[in-house]
Amino acid sequence: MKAAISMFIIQAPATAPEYQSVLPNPQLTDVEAANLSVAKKRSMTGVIYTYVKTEGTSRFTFNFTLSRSKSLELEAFVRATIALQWRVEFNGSVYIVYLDSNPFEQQHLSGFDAVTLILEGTKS
Amino acid sequence: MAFRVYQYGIEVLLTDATTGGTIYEPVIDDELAFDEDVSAPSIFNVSIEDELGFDDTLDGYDEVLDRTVTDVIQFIQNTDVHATVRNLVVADELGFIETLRRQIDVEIDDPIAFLDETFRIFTLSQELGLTQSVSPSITRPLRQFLSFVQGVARQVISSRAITNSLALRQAVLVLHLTNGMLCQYVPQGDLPAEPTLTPSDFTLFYPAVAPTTTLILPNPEVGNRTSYLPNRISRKSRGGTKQVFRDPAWPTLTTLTMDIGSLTTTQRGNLQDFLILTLGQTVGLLDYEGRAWTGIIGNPDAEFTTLSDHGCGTHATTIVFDGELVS
Repeated sequence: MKAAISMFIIQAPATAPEYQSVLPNPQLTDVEAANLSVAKKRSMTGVIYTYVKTEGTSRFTFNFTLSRSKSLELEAFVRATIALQWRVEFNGSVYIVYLDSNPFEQQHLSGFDAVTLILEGTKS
Repeated sequence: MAFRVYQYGIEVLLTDATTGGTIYEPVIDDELAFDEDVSAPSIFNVSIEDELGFDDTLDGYDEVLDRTVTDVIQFIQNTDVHATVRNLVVADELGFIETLRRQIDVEIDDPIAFLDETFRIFTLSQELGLTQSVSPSITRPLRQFLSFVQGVARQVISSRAITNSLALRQAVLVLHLTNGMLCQYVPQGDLPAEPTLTPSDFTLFYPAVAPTTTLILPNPEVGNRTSYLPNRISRKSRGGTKQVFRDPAWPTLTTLTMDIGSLTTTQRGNLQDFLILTLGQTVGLLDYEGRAWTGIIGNPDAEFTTLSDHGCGTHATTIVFDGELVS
């Protein structure tokens, strides 16, 4: 289900938000990948054994193009909540995540900033 | 040698008394050793009594005609400490081994009563060990009672600081949909106000306070980067739960990476001299937005690329600045 107004809303802490920032939608190259891993072992008889690890979380990557002011706002938000769990609303989904970008980097372009947020957590 | 004994009596009277003063006695040793044996080897021993024995052995040889065997061991041991000076060591030990064993007995009554009390101590160590064993060969009925009462009573009244705090937080965040909210600085929460950005010349100066050397350079090219690297602990548990912690007192490091591609030959030389002068020293930086930083140039071995030798020349380099925002 799509939200009526699609924005990228980030709040922190996730349980009782004290900080909130509203960003424009990320660019269309956002990425989602599950945190799954598998280790394959092959025995001398040719039988393959697999060992899997599931964490129930995913990694999300969002690329933003922000005005300089909004980029400064995001930087202030990150500095204040770097160790807190975020609650993100975007595109009808709620993400309970931590910021995984380390370092948090802003690339200053002509009149705007390019920022990439890498988040890790759950999506519902 | 007498074969018939109608009355056999042994009396042992001992009096032992030790009286100490009330001031200071390093050692008070009062030992009373008893070793009393009564043996009745004859046939008709109607009554054998042996009272008062610390190491007491009473053997009735005849298994048939010893109608009554009474072996009473009575202990009254008191160690009373009334002194008011110092009693460093008070030892009151009462060892008890009692064995009453016969091959054929109509009744065996073997009670052991024990009462051990200790008063007025700083360090309480009270041990009471008791082993009771009744091993009859032929008996009816068999009753074996072992009563045991040991109590340690201690009353402690201590008042310590009790803190019981319950912090409740409630937050209401309202999303105001206004024009320009997606590009303006409109944070919600306890965040600093928007910094004032004023276009400025890109300037390096040394020392950071009361500078004596100032170097004005062309502004960096489009694409320079600001990296915010917070010190934080971020790890995952074995179950995959992510745990993040950061102390606000921990320092933060901001790295400015700036590509400068239009240095003249003179500016190049000045910058190279500045890098040598300030190697490992804290310098000041005024960026192209008018914000002041203090920090260290992280790449004193910066490479300078000559793009053109015509006129004043054109040279390019990259400066990495690790510092903190001052204003």
